[in-house]
Amino acid sequence: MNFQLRGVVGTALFGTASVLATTTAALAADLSLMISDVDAKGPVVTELVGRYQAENPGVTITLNQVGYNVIREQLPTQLEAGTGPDMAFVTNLGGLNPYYVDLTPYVDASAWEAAYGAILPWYRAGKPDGIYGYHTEMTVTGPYVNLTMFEEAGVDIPEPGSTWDDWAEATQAVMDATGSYAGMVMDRSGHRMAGPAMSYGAAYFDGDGKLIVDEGFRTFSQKMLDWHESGLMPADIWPAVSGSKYANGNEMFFNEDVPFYMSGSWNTRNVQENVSDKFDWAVVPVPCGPAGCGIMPGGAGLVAFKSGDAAKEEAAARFIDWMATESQAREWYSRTYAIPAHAKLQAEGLDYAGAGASEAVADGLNAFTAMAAAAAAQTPQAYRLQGSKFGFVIYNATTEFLGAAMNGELSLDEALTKIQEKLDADANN
Amino acid sequence: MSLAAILMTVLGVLWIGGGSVWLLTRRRYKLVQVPSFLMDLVGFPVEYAQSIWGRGGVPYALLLPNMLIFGLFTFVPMILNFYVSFTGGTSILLFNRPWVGFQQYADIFSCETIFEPRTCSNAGFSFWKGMFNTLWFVAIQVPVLCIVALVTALVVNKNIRGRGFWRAMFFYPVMLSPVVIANIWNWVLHRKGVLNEMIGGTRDQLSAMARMTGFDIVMTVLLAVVLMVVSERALRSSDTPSLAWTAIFGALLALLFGWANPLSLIGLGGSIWLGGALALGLVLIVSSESRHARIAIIVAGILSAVLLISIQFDSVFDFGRYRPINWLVQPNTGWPFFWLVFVFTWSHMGFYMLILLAGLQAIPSDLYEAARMDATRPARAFWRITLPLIMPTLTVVLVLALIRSFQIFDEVYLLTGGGPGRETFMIVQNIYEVAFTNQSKDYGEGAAGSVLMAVVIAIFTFFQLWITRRQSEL
Repeated sequence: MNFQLRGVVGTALFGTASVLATTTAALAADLSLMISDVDAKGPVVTELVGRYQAENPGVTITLNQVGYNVIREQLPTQLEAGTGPDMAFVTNLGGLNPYYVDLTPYVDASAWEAAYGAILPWYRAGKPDGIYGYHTEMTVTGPYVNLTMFEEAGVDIPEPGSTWDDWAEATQAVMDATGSYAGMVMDRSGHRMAGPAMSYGAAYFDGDGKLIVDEGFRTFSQKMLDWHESGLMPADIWPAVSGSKYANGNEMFFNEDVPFYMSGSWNTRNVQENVSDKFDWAVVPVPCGPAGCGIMPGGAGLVAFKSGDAAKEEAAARFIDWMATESQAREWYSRTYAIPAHAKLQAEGLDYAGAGASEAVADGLNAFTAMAAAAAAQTPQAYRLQGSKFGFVIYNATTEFLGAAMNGELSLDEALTKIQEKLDADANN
Repeated sequence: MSLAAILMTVLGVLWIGGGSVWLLTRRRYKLVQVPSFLMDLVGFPVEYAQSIWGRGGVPYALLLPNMLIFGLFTFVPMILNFYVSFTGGTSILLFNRPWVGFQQYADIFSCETIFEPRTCSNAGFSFWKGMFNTLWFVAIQVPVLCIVALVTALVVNKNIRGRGFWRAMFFYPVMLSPVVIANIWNWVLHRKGVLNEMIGGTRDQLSAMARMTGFDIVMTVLLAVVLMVVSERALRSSDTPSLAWTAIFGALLALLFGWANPLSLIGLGGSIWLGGALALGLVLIVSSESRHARIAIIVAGILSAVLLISIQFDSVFDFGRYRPINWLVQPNTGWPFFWLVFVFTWSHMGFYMLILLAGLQAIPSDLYEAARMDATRPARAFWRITLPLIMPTLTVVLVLALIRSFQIFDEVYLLTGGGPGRETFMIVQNIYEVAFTNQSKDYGEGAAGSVLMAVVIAIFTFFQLWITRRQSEL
């Protein structure tokens, strides 16, 4: 009897060990992919990942959809602590460079240079070479307008070339006539404010290449303060949040609380899906200032992170390479309504309408592209700032301290001094 | 497979496999004894420990894992945190962080004046803003929490109908997660939330009623009847007027002053405050049992009648379009801070109420019976019997509330995020953001901030120990 029991125990132990061994082997190519859930790209990624897994049965990719704040605030800590995902869609392109896997050994470098050569330096953070990410989206900041509210108010849409003051006047008139909650809303992001500030002469860099706040920056900052004080811009976004936290104005625009929303090209799909036929909307040329009509270029990219596991890093690199091939890229850019970073696709143009985009979306993307072209000539510092790995230092300092000034915790002078102090400590040293 | 999963597997294999081998080499089991074998297997670690350390050593052996975990996850991080506060750089890896001495502390204290955070460096600005907000919050929150908890405990200690239900209802929020609490109150306090919907809806309905023909006359008659009933009730008693009815009458008088706005005749505002002052004076006269109390009520009644006739109710109740109040985000209004105190009180009051209830139930009932036989008024019984006897419990509640309020983070972070601006920005949030969410993670500054906060909490803890010891000595 004693032997019987020993036999049972032995069999159970052997079975457990076998199951464990099998499971461990199946997890060898298990990758995690972090993506922001803010701009409705999740379903497209899910489908493409599914297709890739079908073609590559050894690879499993687990999607982790998170708030954009997680990518901005927590991902760098996770990477520093060695607990980050294997891949992620990031917007701080240069800032996270130390954690990127260099894809060069796993991809056709010449093909990548031909397709994405103009964008690849944004990921290098000053390094001379290396392929670090697939630019999944070229973005341009710019405004969305609720045409229905303007029509109901009997206010004409300001002509292209109108200034921010003209738009403030027009949206105030819409606000007064329709009783809307506010006239203009801008995402709580220093990136969103950078373009308009450049329109008023903000240089962002001094002669030595150091980041600075100057008179142009002050001029537009003062306007932001005035608009918030008067109620033209709502307290819900910039003043409401503490520190450098990001907040967007999507809900306010979707709910017709504001007729004017300063956001960007990445949001077109989101706007179409959420607005649907509630009201007519359009992307309008960005308002101008004395120094031009400033926007910020930028975008998001799919990158692989170092994990110390060569097999995983290679598997991640192969997936990114697959995503960046022309056929996948065409589908991705079309279905997510993104401005392509792929040179050939840029030249050919994309069939957004064929991918389900409305006329407003297609027109909007064209408008964004035109704004980017104009800004390249008028405010070239925008492209320089986008390429700087310290871009997010000034973006975050802008929201943190201008937000404090809007709440009366600091005067504008004090806020600008504190922004400069932050730049000197974290970027200019 | 993760490290935790591997560890758990190894532990399981050792327990089940090793335990089986250990038991089977020492005992003989028949097949019918499988249940007893399994029970022995469950108790195997204790039996094994006894065989190694003997019966006397087992308690220490069993405490060892807990002490290891406590040491590893509490004391070691505390020591590491203290060390990190003397280092700089951006690396999270301890050995990659350069030693900077007291630099992090110096940055925090780098101010023209600490009491004016805007004059501080960036590190000091956030830290001191958070510190003073927290101290201000504690100063407001603790008395409010203690008073509300005491009043609630007094009410649910009475023999009221559904007492058990009310006790459960007041305690219920304590069991809710801070995330749930924040979500519930966000639904209520959002610009398009329940509260604004209720206010807006009520205003709209009142405005619609005010536009109806005859509304002015109906309201005048209605209020006249109410005033007559209330003043008659106040004066009904044969000796001194009723204080409760006088208070209601006073409130109505203040309201009439606000609506009639008599000071506008001489170009002044603030009629409601004048009305409030008169109402308060009336209540004081009645409560002092003055012989002029009845005359004062009659004079106030005549004044009310004059005011009532002069009010145009259709304009008073025409509120116009309602612009929703942004309770949680509108800066410089005080509302975000008010609601933070309110929500914190609502969610924590039940716990303190329960402690006070236990204290109240420990008071001998014969004291109250004796007081009743001496015709002691309830207010006097409260001040002379209840409060002195509940004081030791109240002190414990006070100290617990003080420490808990100082540690506030989760509710405020979820409800207002520290905003608008830094109006509800607390010290724990500052430490968290500096170390973990800012673009450049400054672990050293975060650690220095947490050390300074620990000093403040230590002061409160010593205060608690001192009070407790003092009371036990009395």
